[in-house]
Amino acid sequence: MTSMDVGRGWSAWWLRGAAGLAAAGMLLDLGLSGVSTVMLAIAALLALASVLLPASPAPLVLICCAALSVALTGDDPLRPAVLVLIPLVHALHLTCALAGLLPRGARFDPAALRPTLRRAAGVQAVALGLAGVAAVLPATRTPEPVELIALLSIAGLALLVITARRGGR
Amino acid sequence: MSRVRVFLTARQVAGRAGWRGTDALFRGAVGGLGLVGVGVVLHRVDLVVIGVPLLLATVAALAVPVGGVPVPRIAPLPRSVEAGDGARAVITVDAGPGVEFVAIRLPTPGNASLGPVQLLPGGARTVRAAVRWNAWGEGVDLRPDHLAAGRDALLISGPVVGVETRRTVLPPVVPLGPGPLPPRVSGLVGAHRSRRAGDGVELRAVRPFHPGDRLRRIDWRVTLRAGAATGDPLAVPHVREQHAEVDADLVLVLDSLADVTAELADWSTSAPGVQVRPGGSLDTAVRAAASLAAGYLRQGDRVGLIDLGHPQLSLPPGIGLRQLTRLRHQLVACSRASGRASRPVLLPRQIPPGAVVVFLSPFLDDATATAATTAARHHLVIAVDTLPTPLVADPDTPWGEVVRQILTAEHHARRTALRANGVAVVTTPEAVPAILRRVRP
Repeated sequence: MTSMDVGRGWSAWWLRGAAGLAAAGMLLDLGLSGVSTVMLAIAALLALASVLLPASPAPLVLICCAALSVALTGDDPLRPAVLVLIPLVHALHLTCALAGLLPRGARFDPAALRPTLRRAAGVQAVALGLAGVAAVLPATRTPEPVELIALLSIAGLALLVITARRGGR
Repeated sequence: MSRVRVFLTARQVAGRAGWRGTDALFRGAVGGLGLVGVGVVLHRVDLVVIGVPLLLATVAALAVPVGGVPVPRIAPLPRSVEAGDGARAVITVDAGPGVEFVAIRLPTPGNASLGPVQLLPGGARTVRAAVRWNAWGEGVDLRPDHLAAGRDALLISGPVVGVETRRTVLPPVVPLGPGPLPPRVSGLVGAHRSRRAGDGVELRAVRPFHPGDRLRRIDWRVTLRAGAATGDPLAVPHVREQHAEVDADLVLVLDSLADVTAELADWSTSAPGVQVRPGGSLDTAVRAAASLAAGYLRQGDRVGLIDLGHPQLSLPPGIGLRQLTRLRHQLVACSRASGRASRPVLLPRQIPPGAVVVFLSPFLDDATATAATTAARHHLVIAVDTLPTPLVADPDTPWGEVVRQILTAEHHARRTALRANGVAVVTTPEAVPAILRRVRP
């Protein structure tokens, strides 16, 4: 894209609305998973904070709370409540990232979101593919050396993120 | 203390320069890694699959470098424009391949202010925004505050306050039928007939030849006819005498001391975001002045401007299209300085001899009315009353109606005093030519 005319665009509240929908979906998932009322209330407060203050730690805390709560309330690791949470967490992450960029009264061109949505679809395909692979793997305990290798791989990924961030600067 | 503040501010500004991570980057990296790590440690596949999208998205977003910080550049637009004109502002953004979003503050159709911040694709190299100038005056019409963001808005640069571009929107000119002006007592050229004899084209008289008359002015037909009557054909030559043609001066006196609307409640408050209240007394006066000046300059007269509040902003009479442009710019300058003077200043030397004076004022104080009547002793003065009518009382105070009645009565008394002192009072500039046509000698 080389040139474009600025039109009226869409209000940035649509992004916050999308974040609210994702957060509401997470709350519904938590409610259906049988999470305690106190936890649900805390999650609701975090969801509200995420919509009102998208560029704050609230979305991260909500994501962690939701993931841990769902994980602790069931045995099957790939039950529907977990699978639903995968795109919802990603959607909340993206919508809060974009909504946090824009000040009050801002507008956005829907064409600006296309690359992000395309990439998000790819990431979701990979994540759900991994979940599918995990579903067919044996559920027996992993030997300690493999676990160690996995932990080292995570550390390597962390180093990769830090290096890429420095390279971006 | 101030040094500490300066140091902290400078550090904050330096920290904002260039690319920096956002909460989303922290969320993606820490949240993704944390969930995957905890899942691996606790042997919970569900935590891993929930954290994987965050981690993958973050890695994919950071895989492409964002490059340099993009800076929007606006193609220059005219410095002064006409009210009602529009244009397309072209903004060039030189963003790298990793820049996925550019947020710029740009005007949008139907938005009179600087416009909202617009989130646009980072791939847009040239952005065009429609700008329309509806209200006359001087102001900022473009200020491209901008922010650039990388993929998934994990890295941002800015926000940076853009460079303001100011523009002068000239007051509109409404076509008026110009009337005849009384000619000056001196001068040799112009469009108006003088009472004096001169080299014009309009016949003034046929009279006997006097020493000093030019031979080419002799009317031989009249001379022969007069000679035939007396019996001596060439006894008394007769000459044709023409009127002189001279120019005329019109001086527009603008009252910039007050800018009021019909609502009395707004008189003591400043209008937010505007220099001149739309539909107010100053707006009406400036529009009338521009229209009158255009009409009389078009017929070749000399038009000048006097600002009652700021004599230094006055413009001596002149002719031509350039004078009209200068005068409209000066009207904008006068309105910019409106409301800062406490009393009107009108010096006799500011008005050329024989000039017609048009006062454009709401006549809210006696000093302005006195200035008009003083000028009427030596000049033909026409007062254009620009006070919006009827006045509306302040509904929030029990004295609102009383104040309205007092102000209306005072204003009426001033208009009566003006008329009693030979000043013609009209309410619209369209009535000025009719008055001039009536009083033309």
